[in-house]
Parts: sequence; structure tokens; C-alpha cells
Amino acid sequence: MGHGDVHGRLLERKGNVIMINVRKPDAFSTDDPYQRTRKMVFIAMLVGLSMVLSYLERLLPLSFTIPGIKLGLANLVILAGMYLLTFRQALALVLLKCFMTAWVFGSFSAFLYSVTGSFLSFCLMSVLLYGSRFKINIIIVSIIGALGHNFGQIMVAAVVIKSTKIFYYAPVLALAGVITGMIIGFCVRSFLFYVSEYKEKTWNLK
Amino acid sequence: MLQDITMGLYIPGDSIAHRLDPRVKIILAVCYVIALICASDILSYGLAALTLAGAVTAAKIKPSMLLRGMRGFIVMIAFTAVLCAFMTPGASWVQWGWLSLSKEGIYKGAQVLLSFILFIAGTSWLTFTTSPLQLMEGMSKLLYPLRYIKVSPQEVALIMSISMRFVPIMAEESYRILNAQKARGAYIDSGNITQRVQAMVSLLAPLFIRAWQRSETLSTAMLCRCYQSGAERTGLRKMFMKRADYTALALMSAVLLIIIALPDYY
Repeated sequence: MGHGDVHGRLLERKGNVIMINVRKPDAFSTDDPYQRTRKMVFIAMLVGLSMVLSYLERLLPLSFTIPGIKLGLANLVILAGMYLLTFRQALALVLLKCFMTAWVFGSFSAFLYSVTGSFLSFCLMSVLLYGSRFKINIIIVSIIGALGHNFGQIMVAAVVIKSTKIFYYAPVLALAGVITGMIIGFCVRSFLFYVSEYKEKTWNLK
Repeated sequence: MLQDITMGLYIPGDSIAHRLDPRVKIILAVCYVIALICASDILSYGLAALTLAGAVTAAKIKPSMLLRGMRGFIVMIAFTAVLCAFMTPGASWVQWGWLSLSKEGIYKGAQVLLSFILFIAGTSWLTFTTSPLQLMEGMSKLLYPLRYIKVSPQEVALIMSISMRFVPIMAEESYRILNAQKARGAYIDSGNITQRVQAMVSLLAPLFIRAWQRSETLSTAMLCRCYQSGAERTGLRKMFMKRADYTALALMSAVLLIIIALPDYY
């Protein structure tokens, strides 16, 4: 760290501040073919991981069974990706994850719902992460992202059925969004510390 | 169960729909969704339903299969249809306090239900008649204009194929990690919410790091074999448009134009 213009995002845990350098100028430079290939393959693995987690959550029995609601484990990869990748790379991850997950395990309709919700969620989280001067708690970011995701999906449903009455279901989705956002935020905050240690060892390339 | 992950909802077959170019099928699905959004009266919905019936006949799949995708949304849509029926203003038939059931409300509720059913059924047609590999190839060809905004469609296609290839491997890995953590007392499917979250973290951290290690190994292997990012690549299978593809596109365009123009005529 400390190579030229370094921009990092902070994650705090029990008073210890850990700097995560996510915009190191050398990392994933598009001029270097090695870095470019590493970037591409890493994003591909994250997309595959999100597909596996999307399938995994169908197999997990959950205690809350509000119709139309699920935990959204695949979005965990998106949230982690936003802390580990740049804006463009994270955007590519979001779009490809929506496409692959929906079209392999769902349908074109699932793709429309997923891409709108994910894109809105990504925009809101980007504003908090990239556009804010203050460090925002990852759980707050996750909750905002979850609410944006649900709102995006309900917007698509309103356009398809041409009725705004579906927004009466919004409070239920908002409550579910807060709960699932908190769970995903806790999970990502916990495992990101283990991942960041691995990242610092492997991404400091000469 | 996890290691037997099923990729896609593709139903193998040999029908006109199965033999269509995947690019054409994606365009047909997009046009169908646009037509449904533009549909506003009974004739438009009837034409959309007729188009769907023709597509299902051409694909030789059971109509009941198309409605499988509705299961997750049926409660939400039924709730919305009932709300529309009771809260749409009109000449009241039945009154319960501030809720009133009217002819316009019933029509609106039926429209909501019909829109949703046609939407789910029509979009399911695409995934039933096109394998995930064909979908990826078709999508990567349709993304060719992205090169004008400096996004390489070859890289996008490669990312999709790598992710598809590694899904079964990562599924097997997650199954092994799940069992290993269960042996250490971390159960995802039991306990209170805190215990489940902690158990989930014990699954996710090694899974994430393993994915990272795989990506490092794979990128090194690719570069050792002289892979060049962004270079023009050839493919084993070439896609060619046939008469059936042009016919399908022409028919769908006609349906879309009629649905858009219909409200202007009456």
C-alpha cells in the first residue's frame, strides 16, 4: 500500500481499523494482459459462485416463509464484489450474475425481475460506497441494497401487470428486505476479513 | 442433492422451435414481452395468447409446463388481482364497508392475472426450447455492438462459459465444505438465527477463497497456453439464419405492430 494514489475503504471491527485497498492502480490494469485475464477469470468464478449459492438457498429450509421472499444468498457475492472490485468490474459482475442465474435456473421473466432489482440495488450501494465521503457500515449498505432490489422487482411487476396496486405489497417486501439485508451484511462482514487477508497476500504483484 | 445440480430448464426435443436460431428466439422473447406491455384490451391479449399458443404448438411442449415458473409469485399476484377487483372505481355490485366490487374491478383483476400468466408462460418458452449453452452463444453474438463501448463480447462469452463450467465443481466443493463444517458442529439448517449465520460464514469463507485460488490457477494456465485477452476467436459451431428464422421474426414483428396499432383503430 502507499503506491501513488491509493483509495481505500475501511471496515471496522471491535475498534480495530483494517484498510482494504480496493483501487490500487496496478491491480487489474487493463494494459497488462496478465491482470486483465486474472480480472476476467475472477469475475467468472464469482458469477459461478453466485449461481451455486442461488441453487443452495433453495435447499436450505428457512424459518420465514413469506410468499415470494427468499434470502438472496447470491447477492452476498455482489456485496463482497463491491468491496473487492472496482466500479466497472462490480457492474459487470452484477449484470452477468443476473443473466446467468436467471437464464440457467429460471426464465426470461426471472431475468427481467433480477436485472432491474440488482441494477437498482447496485446503484444505491455504489452511491453509498463510491460517492460518499463517510464510511458507511456494511450492514447499512446491505439493507439499502436489499430494499432497492425489492423495489426494483416490484416496479417490473407493476409494469408487466399494468397496475400500481402491487405496491400495497411493498411494506411486506420492505420488512423482508431489512431482515435479509441484515443477515447478508453480517455474513459478508464476517467472511470479508478472512478474504481480505488472502487478498493482501496475493494481489501485491510486482 | 447439492452435487446433483441441474443446469437449466431445457427440455430436449426436435421441433420447429428447438431448431430456431437462439438469437432469433431471444429476439422473439423480447418482442413478446414488449407486445404484452403494450397490450391494453381484450383483442390485444387474445392476439398475444394466440401467439403463445402457436409457439407452444411449434415447440411440442405441454402447456402445464409453462406455468411452473408461477409458483413463487402466485400469492403476490393473486393478492394484487383481488385488490384491483375491490379498489378499482366503477359501478358497485357488492359493497363491504369501503371495499366495493365492480364490473370494472373484475375486468382489471382479470387483466392483471392474464398479463402475468401470459408473461410467465411466454418467457418460459424460451428457456424450455433453448439449452443454456445455446442461450450463451446467442447472447454473446447479440452483444456484439458492445465493442463500440470498449466491452469485448468475446470476454463476456468466455466469462459465461467459465462460470457455467465451474458451477458443478463449486457445487461439489460447497457440499464437501458443508459436510466438513457439520462435522465440526456448524449446522446451517438448525439453531437460532445467529447460529445459522455463523454456520453460513463457515461455509462461505472457504468457498470464496477456493474460488479465488481456482481463478488464479486458471488464469495462469490460460496465459501459459498463450491466451490473449480481446483477440478475435473462431468457434466450432457457426450459427446461420434459415427460412424458419426469418418467418418467425416476420410473424412476431407483425403481431407486435398489430398490438401497438390496435388501440388507434377502435
